[in-house]
Amino acid sequence: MDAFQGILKFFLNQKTAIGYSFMALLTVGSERLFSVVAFKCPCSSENTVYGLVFLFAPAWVLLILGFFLSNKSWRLFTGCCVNPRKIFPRGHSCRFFYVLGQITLSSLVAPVMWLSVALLNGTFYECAMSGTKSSRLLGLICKGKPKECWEELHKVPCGKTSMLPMHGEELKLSLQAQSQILGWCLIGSASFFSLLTICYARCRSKVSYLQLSFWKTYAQKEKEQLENTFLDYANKLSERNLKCFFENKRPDVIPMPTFAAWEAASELHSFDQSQQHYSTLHRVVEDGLELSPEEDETTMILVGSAHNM
Amino acid sequence: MEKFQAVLDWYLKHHRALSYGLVTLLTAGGERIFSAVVFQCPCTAAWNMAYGLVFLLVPALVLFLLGYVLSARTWRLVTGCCRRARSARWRCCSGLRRVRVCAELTGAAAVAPLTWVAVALLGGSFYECAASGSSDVALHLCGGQDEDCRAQLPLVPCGKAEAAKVQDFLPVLRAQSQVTGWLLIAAVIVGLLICTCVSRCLSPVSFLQLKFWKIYLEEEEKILKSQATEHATELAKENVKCFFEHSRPRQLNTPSIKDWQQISSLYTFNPNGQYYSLLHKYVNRKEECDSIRSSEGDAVIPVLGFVDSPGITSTPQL
Repeated sequence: MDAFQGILKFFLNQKTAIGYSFMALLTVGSERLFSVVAFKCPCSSENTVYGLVFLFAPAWVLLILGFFLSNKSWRLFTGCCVNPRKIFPRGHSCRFFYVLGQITLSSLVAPVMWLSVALLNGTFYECAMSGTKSSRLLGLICKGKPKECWEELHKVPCGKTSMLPMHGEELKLSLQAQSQILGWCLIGSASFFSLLTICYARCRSKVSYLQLSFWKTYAQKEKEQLENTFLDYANKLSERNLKCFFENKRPDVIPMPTFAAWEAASELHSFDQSQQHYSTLHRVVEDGLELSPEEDETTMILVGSAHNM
Repeated sequence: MEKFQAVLDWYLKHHRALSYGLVTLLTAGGERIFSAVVFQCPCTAAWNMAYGLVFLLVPALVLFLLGYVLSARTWRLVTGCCRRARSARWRCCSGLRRVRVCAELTGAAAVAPLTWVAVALLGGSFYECAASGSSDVALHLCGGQDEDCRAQLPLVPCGKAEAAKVQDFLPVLRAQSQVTGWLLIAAVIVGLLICTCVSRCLSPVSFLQLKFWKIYLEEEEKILKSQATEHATELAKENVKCFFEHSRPRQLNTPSIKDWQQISSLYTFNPNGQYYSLLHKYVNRKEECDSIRSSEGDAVIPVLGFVDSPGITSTPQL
């Protein structure tokens, strides 16, 4: 039992790595599913469109899903029309594009994985290339082959050409080989590019290695604490409201953050070397908000509250 | 037990996304069953198109209507409306607000049927059957002259066309269907992203506050259910006891019909007060006899549609 606990703890600590591996497994699984169940090259003039749609539409869907599932994108976009100053603050107009770039790069992981796996498989590319009408590509593919190749290339994936089976097989194998080479090149260049990006980001980091580790731990813990506190306060507030509703009483005051406080805490975080705040919440709590207290229950005076916490 | 708890916590955190995934899987499974077990293309020029289109579109219509029926917001909008419209005292939300809410409900209900149509098109059999019965497609595939080809095209889904050239159109029809399915999926997901972005952009409430809001609503739903059950049990016990003992019941503070009506309408956001639900708004009203029906500055915000969803019986309790 202890050994199992140890293994589980190890896995829970490696959440990011496991998440990515899970994504890779899922991508491979669905690619196999597609190939076996759904993908059948039509062997007609529509080969190119068919092959390209099967290659790129799932990649597109995965990209959009990546945007949807990223917390950062919703932090960026929530309330941006109502208060454009929030995402284009004075003097930091490029921050929006920087963050958008970060979100796009992290969403690109799944589509690139799909594309590499699909290209390594070979059937999609083979179908797409065999339907090509461009004379240059046809010349490259059909070099040294009988002249039926030029007219009947689109029938090669189904094996229904009037050429000798030997030639048909050769064409099929060479198209698959090209696809696999492309797939490996994509994997290689994507890995190299992500290494470069991470190195560049680390190079430009304003904090040292250990402080960065601490920062990551702090962010994780703050997230957990935030959720627990949300749950606590939500419980208190809803219990009070329901009690007053059922017993027809006036409610007691429960101090809650103001609109301005929520807005300030929801901003995207940027590290300031002079202040060393590890999150937006940290900064908001230490800087405080100069607000005049209101009689409404929905106010919390933040100035000085940092000393009480 | 803790391991199971960890999995459960993960599920609860992402339950919305997982529910959409489950709906998609169920729709895909349903489509597979339909096309493998129930669907048999008649392979006649007269019936192919109608048969294929019915199988493609009627389940989509059923799913669309189900989407309306299963949304709690629909019932909040509709319940008691006729009586409210007749009575001059209560004013329903203004016409424009109802139209906006209806539009949002329609958008949410459209997801399942579009998933069905996309999956059915990816499968290919429904479109194959419908297109092989269409004279336009026959004209496009066979060309103007070939009468024989056009006559044999409806037999293609059953594999009974005599000319090999005509039978070879089957993979072409399937390819057209699958390409259309993928393009539909791509368009729907981009549309979803744009709508979500726009509604989030227009949100008057910040990101963390929205997160807190969702958690608050879940808690309120849980506690409403437990308190309603408790109160109902007490009231029922008292009534039954007094019936059997032939005595007068003691007074229990059950909320009046006006209280229930006030908290059952559609939620409107007012920037002047931070109220996380109608119950919250009602409990904090300034005077005892005040109504929270409509005041200056009330607005229906698309991103706050989730506030109307919970009810007493729809708690995902585990």
